[in-house]
Amino acid sequence: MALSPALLSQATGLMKVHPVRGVRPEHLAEVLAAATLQRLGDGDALCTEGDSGDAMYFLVDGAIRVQRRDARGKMRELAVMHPPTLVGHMSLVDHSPRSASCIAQGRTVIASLDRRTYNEILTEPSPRGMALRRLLLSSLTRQLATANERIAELIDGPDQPRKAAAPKGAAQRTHRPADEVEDFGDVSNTDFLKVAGVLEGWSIDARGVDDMQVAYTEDQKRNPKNRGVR
Amino acid sequence: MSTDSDIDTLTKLFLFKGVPRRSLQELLSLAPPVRFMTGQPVFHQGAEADSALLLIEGRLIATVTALADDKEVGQIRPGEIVGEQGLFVAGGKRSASVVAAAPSACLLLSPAVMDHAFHNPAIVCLEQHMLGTLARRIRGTNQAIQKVWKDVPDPDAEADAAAAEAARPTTLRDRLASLFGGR
Repeated sequence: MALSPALLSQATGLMKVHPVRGVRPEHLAEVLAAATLQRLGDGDALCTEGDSGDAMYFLVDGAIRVQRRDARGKMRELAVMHPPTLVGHMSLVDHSPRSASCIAQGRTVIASLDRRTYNEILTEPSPRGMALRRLLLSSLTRQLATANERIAELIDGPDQPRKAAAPKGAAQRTHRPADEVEDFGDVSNTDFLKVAGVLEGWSIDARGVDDMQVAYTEDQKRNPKNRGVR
Repeated sequence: MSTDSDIDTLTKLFLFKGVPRRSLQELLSLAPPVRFMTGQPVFHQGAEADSALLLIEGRLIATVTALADDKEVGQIRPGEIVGEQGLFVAGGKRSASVVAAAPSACLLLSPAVMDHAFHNPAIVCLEQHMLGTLARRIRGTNQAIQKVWKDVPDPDAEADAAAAEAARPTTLRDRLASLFGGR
């Protein structure tokens, strides 16, 4: 496939933002080549919170404001995304509704990868399939690290002995002046470790996997012909 | 050397549903099962994280050590991947220790294995499985953050409401204690 310099440039830019091991820019450019360019005007909605996700987007030019309603129903701006980056991929990965609304800020160009094409590429044992999977893995890994850092900031306290032994993220946190942080001296170790469990996702992760595995095992018992062997 | 029994074990995992036996055999040849006896350590907290681990048989327990206390933070069951960030983030450290809670078998997935066999349907399934795992963790973590912030007073609220809010216990410590059952 002949790839344009513009696509290769976009792919190279994406890989700088989301470092992807083992992938070459031309493989990622093949993914971009399967997307459809879309132009948005200032204030146009790319996707709306709560909607089902039918596409993911590569931000090519312009900017996207990410907004969501808080617990009181008030619209809050979470971030402004600038190219090159990915937007709206979580809904395709886990089939969840859009967790936020995305609004164009100024004239914006995006490359849209619809669900059908996404599924097709994602399951391919090809270089472009690997490029898409690893780009998403890189992005989600970073997203998880950011989310963990946000919790870490919430529980960070000054000069607490437990901080030195805290799991991941403790050493990377930005230490604020003592008068800006709260004292956690009377939070027990057990409580702290419960927070640590959330930080690492251990207690969260087991459920989904177990449910799928149990369903699969039961199906295999009931229908031996369904066993996943070719 | 992988055996038919090892391949059979993999076919029972949901994540490898529909993967041909020859692909599973290739995966096993690249990442032969590593077996652990009950109580044997698998990962050490703080150690360099340069590979992920897929549990195919048995059960593992993850613990976090703080102030010399070991606290169990989760169990790992067949079909679960742990430490996958080690595949994508260079220089990372293990965030928890993992020990075998029963005789267990795992595949150790290094970047070299993933790169060498990127065309293998089993590796494709593994990468998709990792995507799902990461997405669940992100959702869970975001939900935890939202819960913590839910009770934060609205800065734009009416003055009376703000005063009433201020009278309630709204320190971060109290919110966390409320969320995680503290004190």
